[in-house]
Amino acid sequence: MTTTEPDDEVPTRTIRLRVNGRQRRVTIEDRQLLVDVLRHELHLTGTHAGCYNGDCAACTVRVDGRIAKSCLLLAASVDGCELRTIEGISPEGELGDIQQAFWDSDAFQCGFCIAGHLFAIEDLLESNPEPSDSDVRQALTGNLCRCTGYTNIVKAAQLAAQRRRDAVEHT
Amino acid sequence: MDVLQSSNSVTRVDGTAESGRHEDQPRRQHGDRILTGREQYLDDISVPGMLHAALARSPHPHARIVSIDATAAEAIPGVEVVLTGERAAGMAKPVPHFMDPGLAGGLNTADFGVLAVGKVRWVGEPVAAVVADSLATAEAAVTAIAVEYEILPAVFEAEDAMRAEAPRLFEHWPDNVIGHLPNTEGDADAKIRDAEYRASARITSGRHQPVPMETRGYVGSWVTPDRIELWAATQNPHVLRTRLADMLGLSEERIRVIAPRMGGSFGYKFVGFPEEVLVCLLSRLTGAPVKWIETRADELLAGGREFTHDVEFGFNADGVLEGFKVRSVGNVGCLASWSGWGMAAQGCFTYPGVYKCADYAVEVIPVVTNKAPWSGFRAYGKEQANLVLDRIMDLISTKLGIDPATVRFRNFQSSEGMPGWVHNKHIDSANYAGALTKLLQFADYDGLRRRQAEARKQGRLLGVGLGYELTPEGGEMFDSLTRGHDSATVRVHPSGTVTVATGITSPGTGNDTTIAFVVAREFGIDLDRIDTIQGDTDRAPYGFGIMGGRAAMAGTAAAADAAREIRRHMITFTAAEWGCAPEQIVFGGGSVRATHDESKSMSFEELASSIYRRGSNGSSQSGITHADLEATKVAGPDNFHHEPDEQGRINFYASYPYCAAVVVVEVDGETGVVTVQECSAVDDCGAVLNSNFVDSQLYGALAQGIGGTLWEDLPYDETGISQAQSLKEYLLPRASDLPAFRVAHQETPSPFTRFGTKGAGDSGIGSGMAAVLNAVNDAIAPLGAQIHHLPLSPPRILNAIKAAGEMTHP
Amino acid sequence: MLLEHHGNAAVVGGGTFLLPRMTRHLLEYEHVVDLKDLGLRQITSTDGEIEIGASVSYVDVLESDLLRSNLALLPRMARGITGGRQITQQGTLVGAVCFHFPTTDAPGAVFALDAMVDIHGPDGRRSVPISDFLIDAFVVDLRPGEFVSSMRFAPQPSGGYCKVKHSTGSWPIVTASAVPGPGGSVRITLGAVESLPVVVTVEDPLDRTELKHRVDSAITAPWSDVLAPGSYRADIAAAVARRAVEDLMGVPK
Repeated sequence: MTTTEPDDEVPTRTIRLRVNGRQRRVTIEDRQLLVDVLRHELHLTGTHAGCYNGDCAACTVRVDGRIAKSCLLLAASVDGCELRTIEGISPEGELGDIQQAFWDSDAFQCGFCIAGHLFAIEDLLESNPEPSDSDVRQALTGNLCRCTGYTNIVKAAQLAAQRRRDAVEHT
Repeated sequence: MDVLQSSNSVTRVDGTAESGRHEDQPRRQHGDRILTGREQYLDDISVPGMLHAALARSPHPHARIVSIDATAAEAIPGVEVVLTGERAAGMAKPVPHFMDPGLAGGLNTADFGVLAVGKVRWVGEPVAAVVADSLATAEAAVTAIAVEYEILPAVFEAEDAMRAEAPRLFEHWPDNVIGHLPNTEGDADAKIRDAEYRASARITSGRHQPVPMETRGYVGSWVTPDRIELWAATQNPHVLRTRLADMLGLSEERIRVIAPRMGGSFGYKFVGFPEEVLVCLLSRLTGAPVKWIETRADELLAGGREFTHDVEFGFNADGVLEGFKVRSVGNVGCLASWSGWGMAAQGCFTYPGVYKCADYAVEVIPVVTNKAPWSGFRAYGKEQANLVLDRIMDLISTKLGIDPATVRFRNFQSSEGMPGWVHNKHIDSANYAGALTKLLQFADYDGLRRRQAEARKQGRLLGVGLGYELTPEGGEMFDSLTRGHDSATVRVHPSGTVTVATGITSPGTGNDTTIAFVVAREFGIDLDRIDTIQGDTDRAPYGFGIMGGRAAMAGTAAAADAAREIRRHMITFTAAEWGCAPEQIVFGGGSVRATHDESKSMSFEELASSIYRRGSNGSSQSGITHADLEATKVAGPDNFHHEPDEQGRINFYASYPYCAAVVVVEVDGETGVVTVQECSAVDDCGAVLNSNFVDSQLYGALAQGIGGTLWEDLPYDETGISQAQSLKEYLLPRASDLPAFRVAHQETPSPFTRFGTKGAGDSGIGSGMAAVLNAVNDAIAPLGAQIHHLPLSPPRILNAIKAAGEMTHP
Repeated sequence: MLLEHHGNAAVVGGGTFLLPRMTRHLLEYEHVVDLKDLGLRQITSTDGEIEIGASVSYVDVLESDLLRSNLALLPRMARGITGGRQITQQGTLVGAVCFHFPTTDAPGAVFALDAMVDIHGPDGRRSVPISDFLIDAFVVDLRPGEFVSSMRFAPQPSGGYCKVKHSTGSWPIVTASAVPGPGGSVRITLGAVESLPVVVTVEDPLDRTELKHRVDSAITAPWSDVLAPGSYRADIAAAVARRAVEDLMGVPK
């Protein structure tokens, strides 16, 4: 192995994150994107990198509650933030209602882009519990899926919304 | 054909239900793993000590490599090795073609090394590979490699490449043409000449790309001096292993190829890419596992479908097509070992589609240019023939003022003679008119036309377009590793759980679930008792992976066969145990019981355990000689004819599904922007095993067909650089661009496959493309405008409208 | 700090333009300065002026009552920004103007509202009108060590907007912002059509012939890129302008 000259030292720093409810400390290179830190340093590989250009949303996570494309964020810029990834959408071993609706509606095929759709629908239903199909499609404008043609993703969103409304009625 | 036997059979025979999830059919197995981010894709593979590779690519479209100086790159801390083409050539044989044109007789071909040697022929062609301890270092080192090039003249357009004075890509070829592929019947010239009406058109298709959300990637690990493991984002892991053995001179059984879950493929991940073997070489050189992941920009280099079709046809006053000629020139970019150029051949074969015209002359000419090579893409060229044929139908309709649906009804091939030879194909079964009839009702075609009439009164440009496709599926090339059959091993464990291992792979189609489902049905047990292994050459029997909608016809049938053999053993054992006749034993509800005696019943677990413990030739009660609860079967469709018949016909597709689609668009006459308002389709892929999965496949295919017709394109500038280097330029359809698809099925079972299925998966591309093309033309027809240049981008549509205006108001 | 690293430092608002270009090695900087913690995510009204801080995102613009009643054009424009809430929560209005990619929504709309650009730098503060701030495509009036802290606007309660693009994922091809001018006239600012916004004023906004004539003659060097040739942009600009006027005047479509 060659030795690294001090001049070539890549700037690094240690950041603190709360990821899926767990406190994490991680040493990162300043230039590292959040998506790479999640995948390679924290081994949360459910967050996928499909384009590194903000186009596909497979890398979507929640940062302090807001959905964000983690390929568009430097990890250094989320120091101290609360993060939620697809692995943390529901408690271990369970499926959340939106995940369940996606499964019941056959709303995914290869599954690579799924994090973006789950988070976008979750975000939509929080502000709009009774969305129109057009609202759902608008909420997905930042996302790409090459398998489904989106038809069943829209159905899944509506199914999840309906089940939430039904649950409210019954309580 | 096999009627599914078990008591909980859910085979749908009506085929009339509208889309929507059917509760009686299983959801995707292990969907929870995907939904919680726990599924493993290629880039999720991380091996201790793993290094990272990056590629140095040619900046020139055509140049001689004078020298490569890697000294500076090698001096960068963290860089382990730089591999050039010449050195790689000493380590591995040329990369075998996915489909070698040289094997097709009389076609031009060439050998391709792992990296370019001597010459580069397209911008982006890899010339060297760097391995470093991080991807960032490898990428930085790539820029430090000094390559001296002697620039050669280049050619980018197919028609230019066909000129005598054009620069030649391959010096040993007489020109830049791979070959002239014919498909001819009858006397097209005479029929066109004598026809009451004649017309012609030039239809061009854009350069498209499959764009799976996961790009390609590989991790090679040379475990010991004579043993390799390769993780690969590939559709065909076993075939890849055979190829690696050949390229590396290694014993095949010492190579393990593992294809983790694919993040989509659509034909892009067929074998044939040099990086498959490259990571193995890099691993050998560095003594460490090496990962290479394709960037999105690199993935967007691969092309497909770039054709110009010159069409000439004759028809009578009733709208019956009398004869047609098509000359299609395909700009296949540079030839490569990749899977792309063959799309020209399959497109050629698909004519005359679902139509009965018996006088046609088709010539498809794949031409090489200094653009990047083609890769395989879903529908594999067949969509081109369907696009052309279904545009002909609408041109006839427009000329004669006969409704386009009527024109199609007058031209459909009848079902007479099926199964059997129809034109150049051995067709399994069909009812083309039936599917269109069903679509017209399903989509309320008359209502759409009324809506259009209303819109036109208001001056709106609303268009309704039909598209119809014949989609040959399940192809088999004789004397190749593209085969129609496949394998499955079924193993019942002593605890009564079941493992199914198959050579079929799944890019997300759901075939893994369906394979498990047919096995569960044979045993009458729950699906969650079954686990399916795919994509691992050490754990699954030899198979050919996934292509051409072959899963249900091949691997699923093999799994059913294997399960049935085990079930026979189980019945024999049980009959001996209970002293009854084998016919009196039935499986279902997780147990086995006797029809004649309610007291005779045991759980499937108990049965499996009993056989493992007591199946013995030393006991008369056992009925069987051993505890034999494992079986491997190979099965496939029975419709291949590789020996030419008296007319010289061969049939290399197992099945002939088809699909009809109708699309409603509105064109903004001032801007040329198209809005897709509706899209409905009726397909016939034979018997449907899981309509949810078939529906889902069709939705995705329609979306890809619409995308390719309206937005997707990879244009090049005059220096040979592709202008679409991200998904902000290659415009994929997004949710707000598409309507809610509505689909239904007509089920005309194939007599040649186990379950009566035909291939599903490609259908929707060709009919979707044709329907959009026809709908846009229908929309702008009141302006006297016409457009045949895909993608139908707003600038092109506006130009077509302007051109029509200039003709009416010169 | 910005001065010290001049040429090697980039200021990011949301980073949605800059980071992918850095990832793809199209732009290289040694230092990235994030304005997030400078307290600039504010929309305020003082002395009859509306001030939008550098960290204000598109969603902030969309959700601001102050903007809805005083600068209606901006939320109208922000509604059409694509990329999903992942982008509209992160991307900033000021950042988009500073990056000045011509075929985007923000530069034209901000130009239409005669923004004053407040610049913070080593020599203190200065303010320049947006018409001087935008110099050319990707070029703005920022000197070494400077960054934009906010933009200020005179209230303009009404505004019409129209954007044409090929598909959801496409950059805008032509945008038009329409705001009322004196004496019933309407001022139209065309974005994405040239490297700088193009302004056209029409005395009688309902005179389509006049509007088309004004727009067509105002466009002299239309922008060409892979999505659309300049000729197409020039062809449709008048129609887009008219639709923005109709949007302003509440003409039903």
